[in-house]
Amino acid sequence: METVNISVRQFTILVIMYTWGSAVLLIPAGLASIAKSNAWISSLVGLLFGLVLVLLYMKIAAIYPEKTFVELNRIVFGRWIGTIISILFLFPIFLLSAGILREIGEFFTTQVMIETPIHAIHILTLIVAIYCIRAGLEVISRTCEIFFPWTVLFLIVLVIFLLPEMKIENLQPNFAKGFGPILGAAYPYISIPYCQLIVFLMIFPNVNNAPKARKFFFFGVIIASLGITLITIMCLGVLGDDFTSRNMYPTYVLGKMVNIGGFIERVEVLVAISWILSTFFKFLVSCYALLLGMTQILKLNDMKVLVFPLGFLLLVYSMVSYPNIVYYKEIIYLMWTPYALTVFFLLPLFVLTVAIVKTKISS
Amino acid sequence: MSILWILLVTAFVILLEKPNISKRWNKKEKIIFFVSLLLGIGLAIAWVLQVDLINPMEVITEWYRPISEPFISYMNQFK
Repeated sequence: METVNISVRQFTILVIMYTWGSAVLLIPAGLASIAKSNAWISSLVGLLFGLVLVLLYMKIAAIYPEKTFVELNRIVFGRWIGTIISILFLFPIFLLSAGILREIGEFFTTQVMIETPIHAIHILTLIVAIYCIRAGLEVISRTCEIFFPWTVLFLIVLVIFLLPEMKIENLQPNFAKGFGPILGAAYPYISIPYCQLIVFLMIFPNVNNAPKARKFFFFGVIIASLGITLITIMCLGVLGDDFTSRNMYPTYVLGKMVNIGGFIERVEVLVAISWILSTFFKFLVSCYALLLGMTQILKLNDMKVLVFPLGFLLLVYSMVSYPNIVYYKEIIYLMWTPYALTVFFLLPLFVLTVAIVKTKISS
Repeated sequence: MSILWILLVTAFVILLEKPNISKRWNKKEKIIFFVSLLLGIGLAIAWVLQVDLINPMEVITEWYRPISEPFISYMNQFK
């Protein structure tokens, strides 16, 4: 396998883009449907739970800094049990990648290119993704570095332009029904995006300064989450909790509300660009982690062996696993969280415990 | 999308990977490439022919229903 090195800065940017990807557009609606005007508090509560997960991932990454999670499983559990645990870890990443592809397709076919068949969007996205993944992690990170300032700039522009439309009373009442709805809304938010951050356990060994990277992993997640909280506040303040919860893409609707002196209007395209960029990089990182994991399980020398076959599988399973967006949304809110907590929290926790015990016994 | 398109794409993929297949990859890698590609093509053709493929999300939903139901009812009371 080729040695790939990315800088801590590139890694942090990847973490921020990954956390933003899909969440910026989808999360406000989910939070507002349960927590209503307290949705922004829910996003902060979700961040607290998310940081616990991040700490767990940081701990795992610190045990064998030069090994990926799949390699760590093999070291800790041996060849067969290690491979089974790695498959249990990689399968949800496959479902996650198919889900992100579906999200991109759904967004295009419901908001931008209504007449275009969804699989056409999926194929185009996959072609670009396959090209990027074949180019390697370094190219993905550098490209992410180029697009990151634009993503941030577009979101800042959106927030600044919407400030005149914002009504603070829409953020009230707070804690009207106690802490219950806030916790209830934070529950699915833990799985998207925080549980998904586990994919970075496959990338940690490629960062040139691992201890610093672990600190910046934490920092990147906080920055990205505060960005999501800010967008949630804007959605509630401008659209109100009822309108936010009934919209599939409230952040996109926010862009349509911009009106500065009848001159600057409808900047939703900026929101769309920002969301597509971050979601595309999330898709790239997930696919890269999945491919790297499969390559290590099969002990291949070249990751490219599996790139095209995975493309076919993702194309099919993005349509089969999530037949429509209503099903997708329901699955995400109802089922994904317990599943994600099992494979992305309990399983790594078990691996960490066994690894620590094994290290202590051997020392 | 038709079966012809899938076969054309497959031919294109093999053509694109030809330098790797003939020079870089060892026997094991070649076998894994062709087997996984065949699996992918088979699934793509099955999907085009509208064969009822197993939806993994449905299977997982069934497994996790007993765990997720209390959480769902807890969240639904606030909707």
